[in-house]
Amino acid sequence: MRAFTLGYEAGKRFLDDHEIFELIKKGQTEETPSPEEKPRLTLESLLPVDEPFRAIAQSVAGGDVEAAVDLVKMAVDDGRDGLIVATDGLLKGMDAISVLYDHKQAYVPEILLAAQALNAGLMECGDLNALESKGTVLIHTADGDLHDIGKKIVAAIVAANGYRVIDLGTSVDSARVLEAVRENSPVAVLGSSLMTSTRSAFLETADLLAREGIEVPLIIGGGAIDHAFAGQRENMRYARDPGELVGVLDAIVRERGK
Amino acid sequence: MPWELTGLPTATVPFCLSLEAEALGCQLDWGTVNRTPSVKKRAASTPNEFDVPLNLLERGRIMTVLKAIEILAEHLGEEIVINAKVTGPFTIAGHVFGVGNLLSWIKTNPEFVHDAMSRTVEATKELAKAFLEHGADIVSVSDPTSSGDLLSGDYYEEFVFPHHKDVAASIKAPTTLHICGYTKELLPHIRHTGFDGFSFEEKVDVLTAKKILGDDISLIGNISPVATMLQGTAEKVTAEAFQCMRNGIDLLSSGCTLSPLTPVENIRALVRAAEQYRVPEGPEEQLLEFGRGLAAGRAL
Repeated sequence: MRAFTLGYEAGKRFLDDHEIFELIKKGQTEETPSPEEKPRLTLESLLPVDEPFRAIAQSVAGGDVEAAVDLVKMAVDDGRDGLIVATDGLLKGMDAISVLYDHKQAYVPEILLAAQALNAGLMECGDLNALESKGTVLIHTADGDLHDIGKKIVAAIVAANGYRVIDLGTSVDSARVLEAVRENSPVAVLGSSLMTSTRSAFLETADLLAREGIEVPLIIGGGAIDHAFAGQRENMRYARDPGELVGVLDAIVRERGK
Repeated sequence: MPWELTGLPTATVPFCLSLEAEALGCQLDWGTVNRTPSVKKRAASTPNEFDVPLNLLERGRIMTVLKAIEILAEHLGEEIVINAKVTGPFTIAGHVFGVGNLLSWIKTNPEFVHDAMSRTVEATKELAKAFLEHGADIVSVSDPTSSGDLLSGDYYEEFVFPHHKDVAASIKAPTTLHICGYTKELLPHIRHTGFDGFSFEEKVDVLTAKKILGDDISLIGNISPVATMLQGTAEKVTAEAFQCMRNGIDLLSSGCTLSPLTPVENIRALVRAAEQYRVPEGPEEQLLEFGRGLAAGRAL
């Protein structure tokens, strides 16, 4: 009876009282805040403070390829170390737009453009072999899955967070993953699947890696993947979004360093 | 009768989103027994090197689909609804020009996007018209690439909305729009597209959608195709189906295409729930039922 009355009252108010509706909604979703409830951020607050890094980062975040190239050239001509320009300028810009993306304040077009500006800028930084990388990761989509965009975004964000990313492409089978792992000794293999019908390929890849005695975790995500699926193999982990993925990777690297 | 297996009162053809892409010159990966075909290679790099061919209906598998609709209409037309599925203009554009190109153009070359869309929308419209002429009762337009996971509400409004409106107006039969993923920010615009129904996934909860869409467009969905339909029990399907309908769903359905491995008993449970649910009569009772949905949602 109580639920009945409560329901009726709530339903009635729904029509005329926006605030109460929001409250009820909030109560219902308390445990899993939806992305739009994250606080609004400004790009300005996410950029480095000092010039020229701030302007360089801004050119990447804004996806301005020409500005990124020009500003990096100028900074290097001024005698700045290309490595510093890359880490304190370009990568900070990619990082900033990734955070906005995570908060649903930037979308895929912005990420794609920022990644282009980042890559164009990096070409002007000179020899980046000394660029300190937290480690190498391989990225691919499940065998049979041709969805490229999500993977590209993840690759850009992971790279912005200090990893060397090798993109194996779409629809990659377990044998090719194994071969690439042997060649590159990555800290992790990343895989995405947007189609339920392709995700079982990850079980095959995880099994193959385990059989070959390779202790590299397979971190998977995408629309077709959840915790339950990833939990089926010991060497498989799940990451919900790029932000969570970077956390998982950092934890793996820390663990290795011990 | 195959449809008696599930009891579904509709039959939908075709099953995949690559029908148009193939006919427009994309290369396909043909998939496997449990995986639908998908696009392997785009057909063009820029909008000005692409046009919808005059003989579109004779290309690829389109004649086969038209024949399938005719057979369905002839044998089952009196008993069930024949639903023809066409791919929306943004998704076709993504297939033809590459999704990466299309999304980048939004920032670098918006004119390209408008140009591309004004071409691909003709394919959607032509196919919908042909499907209806061959005996389909309704047309559902599926445009997953225009998802809010990829686009903001503003981008949707500028680049996709006018063409969705155009498609809806051109279809002289009941017609619905489906967009995958997170679509909340698109809803204020979708409300005004002119489609009779909007089908969405569980990433947007029914209450929120109802609040934004109001009574302008019917709500279709939104049982999870994977977590519930594929992996859940029939009991779970039933419980979520009732919750969906109480919260304001008008047309009960899974939130997106079902996996071929979905247990038949789960589909039956979905159909049974829709049959058993008593649609509230009159505004007072509707309100009551809605409130019950709210209260139950809270208790979950």
